[in-house]
Amino acid sequence: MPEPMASEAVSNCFGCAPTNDIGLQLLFEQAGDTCSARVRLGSDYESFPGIIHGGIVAAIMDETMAQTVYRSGRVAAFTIGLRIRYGRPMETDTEYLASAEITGRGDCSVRVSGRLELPSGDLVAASDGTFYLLTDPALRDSGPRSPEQLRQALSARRRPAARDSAARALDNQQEGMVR
Amino acid sequence: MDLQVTDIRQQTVSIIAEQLGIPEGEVTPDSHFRSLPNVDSMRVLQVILKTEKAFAIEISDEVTFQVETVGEFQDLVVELCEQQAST
Repeated sequence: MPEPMASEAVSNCFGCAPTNDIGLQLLFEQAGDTCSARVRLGSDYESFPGIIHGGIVAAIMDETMAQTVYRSGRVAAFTIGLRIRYGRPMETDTEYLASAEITGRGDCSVRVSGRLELPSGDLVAASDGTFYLLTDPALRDSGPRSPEQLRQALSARRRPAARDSAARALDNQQEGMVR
Repeated sequence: MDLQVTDIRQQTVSIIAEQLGIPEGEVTPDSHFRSLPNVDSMRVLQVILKTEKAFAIEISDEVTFQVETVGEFQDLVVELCEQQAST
C-alpha cells in the first residue's frame, strides 16, 4: 500500500515502512513513469530452503505497482486485481530489482505492469495489476465500508489548509522514500 | 486474413528466436519447445510476455504446460488474435 494509512505519524506498511522490522522495507526510486526498488531478502521469507516464498514475491510486486500508481497522481489506491507469473525462483540473500510502469488508466482505476529481475536482466517474475483509486468521491461512495482509520488518514492528506501534523509527517515520510 | 495469419506466425517465430538467442531458421512449427536451445522457464515466460505485448492478447498460465510445439503456440496466438479482432 503506497500511502501510509495509520493515524499516527509513522506508517507501518508491510511493503515500504522503514520501521517495520518484519516488513520488506522497500525503498523506491522514480524515473518518469517508472518506479523501482532494489530488494534482497533473507531466510525469514523463504519457502523452500534458499527460495523466497512466492507470496512474498507477489507482495513485492503489489507494493511496487501500488507505489507507481501513487507517485503518478498522488492518489492512494487499493489493489483490485493482481496477476503474477513466475519465471524462475527468487533466491535468498541475492539482490533483485523490482520495477513497474503504468499501462492504462480508467475513470477510477489504473492498470500497471511490473517486473522482478536480477541485475543482469534475467526475469524472475512479471506482474499485472489493477488499482482502484481512493479519490474523495470513491471514499464517499464506499462510506461505511472503508475503515474509519483509513478515511481519516487519506482525508487529512488532502486538506492543504488544515493539514494536521500527522498528515504532514506521513507526507514527509513518503517523500523521503523518493531518492 | 491468410496474409495476416502468416504475419502472426512469422512474428511469433521471430519473438521465440529473439528470446532464445537463436536463428529463426531453427524455430519451425514442429519444433518442440523443450528441445529448443537455451529454453528454460524464464525464457518461456519472456516469450509469452513479448507475444502478449506484440499482439495485445492475454495468454493463460496453463499454456506453459499445454503447448508442446512451436506450431501449437502459433495456432494459439492466431486464435487469440482472431478472438481479439471479433470483440
